[in-house]
This record gives sequence, C-alpha cells and structure tokens, in this order.
Amino acid sequence: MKHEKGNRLSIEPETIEQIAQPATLERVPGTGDRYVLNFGPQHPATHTTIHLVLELDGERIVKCTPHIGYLHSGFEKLAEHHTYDQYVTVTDRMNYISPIANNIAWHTAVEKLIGIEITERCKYARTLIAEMARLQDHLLCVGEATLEVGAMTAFVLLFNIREPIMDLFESLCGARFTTSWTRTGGAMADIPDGWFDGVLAMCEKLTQTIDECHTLLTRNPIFMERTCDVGVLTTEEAINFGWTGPVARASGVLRDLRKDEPYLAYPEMDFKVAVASTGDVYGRYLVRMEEMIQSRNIILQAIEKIPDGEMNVDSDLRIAQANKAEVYGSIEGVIHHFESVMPNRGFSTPISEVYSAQETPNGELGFYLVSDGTSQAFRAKTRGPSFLHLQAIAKLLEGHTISEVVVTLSSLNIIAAELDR
Amino acid sequence: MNHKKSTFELLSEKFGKENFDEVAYAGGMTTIIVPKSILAEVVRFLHDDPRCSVEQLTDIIGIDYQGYAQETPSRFALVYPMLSLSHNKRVILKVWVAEEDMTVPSLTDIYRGANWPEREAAEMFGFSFEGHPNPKRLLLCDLFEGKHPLRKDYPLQGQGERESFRIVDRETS
Repeated sequence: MKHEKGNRLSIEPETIEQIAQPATLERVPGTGDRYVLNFGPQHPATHTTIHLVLELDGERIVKCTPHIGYLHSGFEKLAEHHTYDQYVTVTDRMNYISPIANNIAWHTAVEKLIGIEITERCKYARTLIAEMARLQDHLLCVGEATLEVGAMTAFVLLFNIREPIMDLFESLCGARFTTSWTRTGGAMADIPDGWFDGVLAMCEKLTQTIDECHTLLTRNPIFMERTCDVGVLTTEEAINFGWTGPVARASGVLRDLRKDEPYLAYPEMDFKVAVASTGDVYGRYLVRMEEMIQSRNIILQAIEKIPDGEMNVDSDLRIAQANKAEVYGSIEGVIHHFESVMPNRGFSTPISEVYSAQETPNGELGFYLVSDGTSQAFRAKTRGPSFLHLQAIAKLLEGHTISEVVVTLSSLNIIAAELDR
Repeated sequence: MNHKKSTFELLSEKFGKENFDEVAYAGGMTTIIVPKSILAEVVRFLHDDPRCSVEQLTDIIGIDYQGYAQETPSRFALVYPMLSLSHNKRVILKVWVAEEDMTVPSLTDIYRGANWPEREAAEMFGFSFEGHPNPKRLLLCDLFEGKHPLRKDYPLQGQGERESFRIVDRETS
C-alpha cells in the first residue's frame, strides 16, 4: 500500500517516538537496572486496546503508567445529533460484553427525564433481562480470568453456558450482540412465546456449571496462589477512587444500587448482595460467582411474578412505538408510526437535567442528560464504570510481577469502548 | 436527632447563604449551585463533615450551554455528582464557568478518582484544573491539540483530523 506524501502531517520527531514506541525493553536512563516495557495496546490480555507502560526492576513493576484513548469514538458528540431512540444503538456498542444492560440504563434515564412510568410487565421484563446481562458479563469475566491463569477447562465450561444466553437474546430481539432492545416507554417487541422455557432451561444448566466451576477453581491451590493478595485495594481507597459494582464490593464497600436506590422491579425481588473483604483478585472472583447465583434467583422470581398486559406505555401519550395493530388498522396509527421515526416530530422533552444511574454488571452506569425541549439530547454524558476503575491500575500493580498484570486486568473487567467512549 | 438539616442548609450555615442556590429539576434531581471561588473548600467540608460525609465523587460532567433553550449565567458549567455512602444520599454540585476564565480548582487532592474525569473535561471543553498533578490530554490524539471537540461550536464531522491523520508505514516508522 502506498500513501501520498501530501497526506502526511508534519509532526516533530519526538512526538513520533512517543506515539510509536517499539515493543522492546529500554533501559531507563539514570536508574541502573530499570527497564521500560510497553504492555499493549495490542495484547490478548487487554481484551481491547489499553496501553500500559511498565517500569521494571527485574520482573517487579516499579511504576505503571496507563495510556487510554485508543478506542475513543466520540459517542457523546454523537448523542447530541441523534434522537433518544436512535442513540440506543450506540449504547450497546459502548459495552460489548453485556450490551442489553446499557440499553436498559439509557432508556431508564430518558424515561426519568420525560417523567413517565413504564408498565409493570416492562419493569419485570427489564429486571429479568438486566440480570441475564449480568450473567453474560460475569461468565465472560470469570472465564477470561481463569484463562489468564491457564485454567482452560473452566473457561470452556463458562463460555458454553454463555452461548444459550446469547441465543435467548437473539430470539428476543434478533441480534446476539447489538441488541438495541429497549425503546422509550417500553421495548421494541414483547417477549416471544416460549421464551421463558428457554430461560428456565438455561438457569438449570447454569447451577450445574457454577458448581463445577467452584470444584475446579475455588479451592484450587494453583488458582489461589495466582489470585490471592494480588491487586489489593482497601475499602477506603476503593471509595476514594470512585469504584462501584462487584470490584468495589470485593473491597468491602457495602453498596449495591439495586438495594440502595431500588429501580425497576428490584424492590419486589428477594436477593442478597455479595461482599468480600479481601479486595484482591480472588475476592473479585468470589463476588462475581455469588452474584451469578443471586442473578439466577432474581430471574426465577421475575419469571414467576411477571404480569400479563402491555409492554409499552399507553400509545395515546405518543411516546412509545405505535401498536402494530393500530398502524395497520387506522389512520391515526399510521400517523403515530411515521411521526415516531421522523426527525423533530418525535416526543418532546422538558427543559431539564437528570442523572440516572443503574447497577450494571460492571458497576454504576450513569447517564447525565441535559435536554432543551427537542427530541435530541443537548448533552448526554456517560459515566462508565470502567473509566473510574482503571484509574487505580497503577496503585494495584505496584510491586507485582508482569504475570500478575494480566490477572489484575481481567479481574477489573475493563471494557475499553466504555472507558474511551 | 429530630430535625436533619439538608446539605444545602449545612452549606449555607457554614459558608453564608448568599453563596449558594438550589435548583430542583423535573426528574427529582436537586442541584446546589456553588461559586467557583469556594468550590474546593465546599467539597472539603462535604467530605470531612460527619453530617455530610460525602465519600465518593461519582463523575465530573462538563457542559457547554451555547445555544441552549434557556438563558444561563455563563457559557460553561461543571457538574459534580457525589455520593455519601454512609447516608445513602447523592449530592450534586454545579459550578458556572465563564468562557473568559476557565480555571477551576482541582479536586484530586480530596478524591483520587477525580483525576481522569478532570483530564477528560479539560480536553473536551478547555477547562484548566488548578493543582492537577498530571494535566495532560487523556483520550484524544495529538492532532486535537488546542481543539475541544465537545464544545457546541465544534462540528460533528471534525475539522479535518481524519484526513490529516499521519499514516505510519514500514519505511517511516
């Protein structure tokens, strides 16, 4: 491939060296025996693109400098040029591990902004699906973490059970990954017939898998050797760094938005919050394993309690999608349908601001929305949990060896698309 | 304790009522408007005082209000959603920042988690955080030097960064 010289921008040679550092060891000037190692941006253990510059003394890490931004795609700028319902397609690209949880968090924020209450059936359905997303996320995270320490069997076991969850999402909304299932005031479609049977079958298999995984890993001396006392963060530090979700709970922070700021149908659900006191990688593993059991319990309760009725809010409000029977049967329905997809003819919003946060699998996912009365957000800031988690990586890795970098990174479950947005 | 004072009352008591303003939004969110000059002291008080004990800074949100539907005191604002875990209460502060003077005190010495959110707000909007330990750009590449993409006057298509991106091939790398 040849490129024309005119296209190149003149950048100072020093800057070029900063951008494209060779992946070799370099002696740090003036320090005797220290070397600099570039970890990433392309490394299997970073899952996507994170660049860590490690200053090494032998194999010990003296200093770690994280560089992020390789996956910055300007999502927040995009949000200002899309309607609220269009932007949902971007939210699932923001999290490629449990996309549907982001869909739900986004539309809960939008509904809080325009001040509508969704139907009971939708609340239960969203609760159920948010918990399935938690399973999807934790299965991947624990699976990857075990792969990182060389436990291939557990990885295959956990990914096997992740497959039926993806299949269930596919039958729910037609896509395995880019789900975009929610809409303002409801969802794109009701739950298909016989879908709950599939969920129940998955739950049954899940219990068995988690038991097997416990047998393989939880008291395994090799696994414990690699994970205990690695990447430790104390409770105070975790709070001060802005940590939330399972990683914070593994450090002993008693905080779960599902309990502390109940939303959707969580007040009706009976579940426990998993907390560990060690704050290390092993604690994070245990918290995630227990959360999967609790998620399964919530799913079973939601299936039992989910009421019949409408999924979307009343179509007279002109907020949710038009009912298909109305679209084909009446002129008002056709008008509603077209208006909902035309730019600047959708629902209007108050001139207001709102912060809405949900407990997504990775931690607190918040959306700060500023609206100016139109159908597009004036400003939509995403508070991604990974962004605040990764800040502490230098603290976590100090004094550890290179082999512990991969273990710590996978235990934080960093999602770079959410980190860089 | 029979009457629990609100955060707004506590702040008014400590720093004087005339400094603060409280805005209630439609979604049930209440924001306390804090003048920029005393932001660091206010946050220090919220963090240390046991009646507030705001232990965690959730995020820092920069906003450019150019072209907004309502008149605003100044063009830019910073919103600090914060959380008190022991009281299970959210405190949301807002600081108006004028275009002429975009210096804002850094909160990194109180909350270590403020580090990256401040760097992000600085590069996206052009704020400069006084006392930040590492005020470098965080997410954007070198081509964005001096540009602030989340400002309202920055076009969605960009200003030619994509076209002029330096291509590294084997000969030149």
